[in-house]
Amino acid sequence: MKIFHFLEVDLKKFNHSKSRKIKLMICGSILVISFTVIGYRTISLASVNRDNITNILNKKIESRAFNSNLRGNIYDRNNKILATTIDTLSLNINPQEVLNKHETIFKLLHIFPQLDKKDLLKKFNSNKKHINLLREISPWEHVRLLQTGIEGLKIQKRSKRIYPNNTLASHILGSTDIDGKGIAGVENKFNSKLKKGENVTLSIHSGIQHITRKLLLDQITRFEADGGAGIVMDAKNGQIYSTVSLPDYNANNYSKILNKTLFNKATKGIYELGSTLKLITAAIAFESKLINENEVFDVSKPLKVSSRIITDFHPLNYSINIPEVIVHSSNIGSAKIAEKFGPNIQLKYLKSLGLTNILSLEIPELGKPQVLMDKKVLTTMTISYGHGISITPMHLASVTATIVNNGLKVDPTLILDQKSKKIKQIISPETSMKMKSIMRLVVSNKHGTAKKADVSGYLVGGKTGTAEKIRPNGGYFKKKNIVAFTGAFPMNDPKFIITIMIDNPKGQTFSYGFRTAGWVVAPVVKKLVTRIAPILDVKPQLESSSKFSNNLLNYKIRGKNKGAKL
Amino acid sequence: MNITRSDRSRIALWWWTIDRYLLTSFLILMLFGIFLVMASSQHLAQNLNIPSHYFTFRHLLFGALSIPIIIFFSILSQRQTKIICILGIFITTILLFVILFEGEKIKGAQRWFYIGNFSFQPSEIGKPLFVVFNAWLLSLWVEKTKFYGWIWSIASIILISTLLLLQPDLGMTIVMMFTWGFQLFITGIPLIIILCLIMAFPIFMIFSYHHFNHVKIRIDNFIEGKTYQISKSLQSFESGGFWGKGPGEGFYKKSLPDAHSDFVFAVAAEEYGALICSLIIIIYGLIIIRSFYYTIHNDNLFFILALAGLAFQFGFQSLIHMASNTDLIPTKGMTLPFLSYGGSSLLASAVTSGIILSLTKKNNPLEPFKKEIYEKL
Repeated sequence: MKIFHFLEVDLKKFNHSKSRKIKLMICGSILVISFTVIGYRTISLASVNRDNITNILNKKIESRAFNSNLRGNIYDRNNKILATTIDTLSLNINPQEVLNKHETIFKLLHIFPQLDKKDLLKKFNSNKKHINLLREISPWEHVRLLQTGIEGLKIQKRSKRIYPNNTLASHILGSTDIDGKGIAGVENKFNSKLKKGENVTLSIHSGIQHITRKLLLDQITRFEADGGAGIVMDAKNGQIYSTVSLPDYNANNYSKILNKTLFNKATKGIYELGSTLKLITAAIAFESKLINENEVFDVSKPLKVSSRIITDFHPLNYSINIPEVIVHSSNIGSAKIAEKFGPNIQLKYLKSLGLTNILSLEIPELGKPQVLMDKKVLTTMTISYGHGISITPMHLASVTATIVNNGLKVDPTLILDQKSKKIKQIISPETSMKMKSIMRLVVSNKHGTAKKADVSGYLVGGKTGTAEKIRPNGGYFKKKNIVAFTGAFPMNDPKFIITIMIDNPKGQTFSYGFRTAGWVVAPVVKKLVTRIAPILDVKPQLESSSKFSNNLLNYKIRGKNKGAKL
Repeated sequence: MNITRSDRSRIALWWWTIDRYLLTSFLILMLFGIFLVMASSQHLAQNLNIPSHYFTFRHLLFGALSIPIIIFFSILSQRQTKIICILGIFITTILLFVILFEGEKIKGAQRWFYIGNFSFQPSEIGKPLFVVFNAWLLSLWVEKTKFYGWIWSIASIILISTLLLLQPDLGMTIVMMFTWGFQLFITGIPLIIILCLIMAFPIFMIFSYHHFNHVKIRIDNFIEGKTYQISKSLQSFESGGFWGKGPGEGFYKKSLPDAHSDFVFAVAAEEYGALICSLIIIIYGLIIIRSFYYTIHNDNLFFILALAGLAFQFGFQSLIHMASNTDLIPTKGMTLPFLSYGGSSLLASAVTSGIILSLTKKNNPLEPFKKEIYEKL
């Protein structure tokens, strides 16, 4: 076959052999270099690895949620859970992994009708690799998701803080943010401890907290008030059994709540609490020894100081002594007492009673008192009956406790296991005894302002206060009052302090139009003592018993038209 | 294989003369190909509502078919190779001509014949055949003074390119033309012609840019840097990382169009990681280096042109596939030899590797015997 003849290659004619080899080497090298470039590109693409970084981050977050200690629980004094952490499932999605957006949205909407279609489409079209769809899904929804089979879904376990008692002590407990960091209340104050998984036991008594809230809420509703605060505290060591601020909120919904509701009226709100502060005036009067116990003050005429005229709510036409000033709640008498001991002594005691400083309570929401310190006569006089001094209800409870606790300073605390601190003597036991006797008379005497707070057998004592509410821009609301009561029971050996404040009650027909503390707050105190005393193991006692009469002094209190005879 | 050197059977002879490094490399690549097709084609099969292993089985079938092809071509002598390739390229050219009228149009291109359930792409098979054919023409041109091989060579590349561009199949044309240019360069042509050819390429690309709409779109997309395919492909590399997500664990392959053919390298990157990808690149590189090594140590011009041409074509095609997968060049639908799904592609790779093995085998003792047979013809 001739065709194969010229297929034979004649090697002898071969030329350019050397240059051909160089060319081949160059071309071969170019190919190999190109392969190297591709190899380098492949590795650099793989290791410039944002996805991996996010994966590592996600793993970190997961391991933090799983392996690290779960946030500690918060217990009340009887080891009832107030706050705890549970595992929930959250629904996330990587939009890059969604193949058919519309089908996925359709499937998701079938299981979660609450999701918005447009919103989902927007999320799916984003460039992100991790988008949270729902913070929390139920196990049932989880099962349905798995059954439906949607690609790109990431169901992550996350821990969730829950408050099983909802509104109970919500202001005290505070809340955590979505990362589990305490942002308010005890959650914030004890964040580092709780974060380590340690539990915190509060002095709060769930039952008493609930009763206080319920009674206060009822009264606020009855008197159409704006809100209120209520405190039950151990009179000896300052442990708080309950502290209520109304209106309150469900602690589980912290993030959805208005600021106004989150405001803790018991510890952060400062108010002019009016006549309740006359207790301090009387205590200073006894303690300073500048005023004789039997010294009388003429309250028959309004007192004119500078441009201000001080009047009494229930005017008396004769001179009265200190116990009568308190029981009748005479502004004129109080002002005249204060005038006697003067601004320096007054300020000294206000300071030692802690009324010029923020409390050392274990929550961040604390109010700083505002006290006029210009040392003018008028200021001294108005402070003596509770004007020109704004304090929190918790301050008032602390002062009341100090006065009835034989003059030993009582600092409120929310923690059960409290290290013993050095206790300061603020006023003498004798003064304390006198004060306790007078406080009992405010409730027990027929002329007292807090007669409606009396509970047979529990020897409630205290002081009411009805003050005009301060306008935010200066001056007072003539028709808006802050009504308060602070006191203790049983008065012969005070065990518990009760301090209640109600903001802006309105006069009701059943109260004959009155909206004074005696009408609004005193009945709450009565109901409260009736209900909590048995729980707190306070035994009722006969007032005529010898034990009682030995313990309290008996001052004679004269009525409105009883003349000048002492 | 337990074969001693004293064994003189045909199998033993084949085994002892073959370049076993190259053979092993080809087989490893084929094995990778089976795994990658298994991983990358399932989602496509699901989308097409056919059994999920449909493409895998077909690939295995072609794989089984390609091994005899490799062996068949590797047994051939140089002369037999020439004859078969020359005949093959004539048949291919006729088929390419016929396909313009008879072929099935898929995705805007007329490249395939349908034989029963199987499609056949003549241009794929023609690719290695043309390399050998061109090597023959050029070697004749150098050795026979009166034979104007370069004219024949230019004429044939123009004919083939025109037929390919009419399909249109730009990727194949570029591979063919580059290989052809490479062979011409090795043969030794005046520098001025080389420069002309280098100049011609941009002109050709500009022509394609304006003439073929999809080329324009792809180049524009590459310059602007935003295409769906490329972003998914790059995400595959990211997602796979160094060690890969594991076999079958790939995710982006599901949203990567043509993952089983034009983006199989990205699938490999996601499932097996950059490490295995580097290994694949090294295997391709080794095949090229070893082939070029043979050409440098041989003075037979046909041998040089055919072997270097085939190796160049093999490497060039792989490079284009990998480079477009890694966003180094505009997307070009190019299969990765042995790794991509596709019957014609796999068979073409088998033919290429078979011829490479045939050319690189040690002097076959059977050669004189065969020569006698042919001379008798």
